[in-house]
Amino acid sequence: MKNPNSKSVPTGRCRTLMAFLLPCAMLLLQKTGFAQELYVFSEPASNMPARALSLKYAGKFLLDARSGKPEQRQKIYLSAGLNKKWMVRLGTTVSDMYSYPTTRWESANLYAKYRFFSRDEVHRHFRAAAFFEASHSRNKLKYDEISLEGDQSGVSTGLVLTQLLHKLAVSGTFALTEVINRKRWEEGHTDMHPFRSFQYSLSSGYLLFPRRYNSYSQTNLNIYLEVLGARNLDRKGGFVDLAPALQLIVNSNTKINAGYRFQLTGNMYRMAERSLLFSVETTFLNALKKRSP
Amino acid sequence: MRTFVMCLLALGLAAPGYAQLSQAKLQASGLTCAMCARSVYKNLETLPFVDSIGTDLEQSSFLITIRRGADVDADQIRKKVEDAGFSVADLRLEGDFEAIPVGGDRHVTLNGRIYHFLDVAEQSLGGKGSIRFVDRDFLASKDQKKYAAMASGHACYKSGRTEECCRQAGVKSEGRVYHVTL
Repeated sequence: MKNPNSKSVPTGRCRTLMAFLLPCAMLLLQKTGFAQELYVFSEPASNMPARALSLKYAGKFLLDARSGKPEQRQKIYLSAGLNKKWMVRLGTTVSDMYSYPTTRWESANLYAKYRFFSRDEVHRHFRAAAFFEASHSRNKLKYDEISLEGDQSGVSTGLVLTQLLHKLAVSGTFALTEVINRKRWEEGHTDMHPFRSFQYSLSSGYLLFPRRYNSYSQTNLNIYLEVLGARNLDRKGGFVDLAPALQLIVNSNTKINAGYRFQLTGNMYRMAERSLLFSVETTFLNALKKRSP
Repeated sequence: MRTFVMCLLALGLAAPGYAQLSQAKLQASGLTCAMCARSVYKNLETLPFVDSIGTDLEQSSFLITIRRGADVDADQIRKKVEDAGFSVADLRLEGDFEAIPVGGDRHVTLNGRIYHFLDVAEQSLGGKGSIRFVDRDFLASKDQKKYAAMASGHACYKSGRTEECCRQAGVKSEGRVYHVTL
């Protein structure tokens, strides 16, 4: 018999779905504006322009879940559009997350993305891309959360599918990530840490301002909502985060991003369940080739 | 000269013609943001035959003013849009055309390039006019099937190069064939 005092509490999965679908539905109801896919926490299937270079700084800030101390990671990325289908990105990080209070060099990262499908219409497209990522990190294995943004050495590969529908852009990323660490093959450690993870994201974006475009110099304000999830495949554990973000685009070439990421549900030993992300990225078009004669 | 051209036409051969092209109207597809449009704009700017570019950001369209007397290459325009990460949905070249008979699957050599006119009734293209490119890579996805069906009997539509169908239509030279309509 049902307890009359009991409340119907949505499960973590339901809350996640509702948190994502509600803003999506609100966006669909909007009558003006264009969707954006220059996501703050994930990559779209679209690539950067061929022969363009971009330089990005990103800072991640959090309070360590155990010590309560403020920790940070500083990241620098250099990206290049090799041609219309391929882009590569090199990155490096410094942080005090594994060496508090000392900030030290921590990791280097390579990311490559290949856009293999594109179906374009005016103000809409569907695109699919495959990506590969490799990271070298000096950090010791500590947490259950697998991440190549500086935390661990490893490789990752996956698919990105992005649908732009005039007023709404939705993107999904599905990736398999493997930690490469000698402890993985050492007796006694193989069961202590997760080494394999399925990671996914669902992202949506919306242009708030300007309401009408009339020049490249107009500053754009975009709002994003992303669901970022992971499930370890060799040890139990997973999480689902929600990550709202705001983005300013200045002069149609510089993005300024600020996002807040927090856990909706999870059962994983993580460094923190909340973090702030701030990043600035400038794109230099036609930087890799001189002007045609 | 005109008599010579008319004689060639009467023989059903590919007609050489001339047009003073003044502008290209381009609509790009697959983009909505100003940052994306700017990458198309900056790419188009590098083309040697481009004098200036006007942009309608809301429509993702670009009005390209052509340098006087310059040789316009539609493939270069397409490539610049694709390099920016997007596609051509519509491309039209406008200018003053020497009186050229078009229509009836006629092949016309215009400013040294071969144009195959599709879906056009027999007529003369003269004075101010415009031609629209209908090759697959110059169309939005929704229009591609229509023109592919219309050109199903022409191998040149698939390859973009002169084929047997072109030679039968009197084309003597080999090379790129653009498919256009009015």
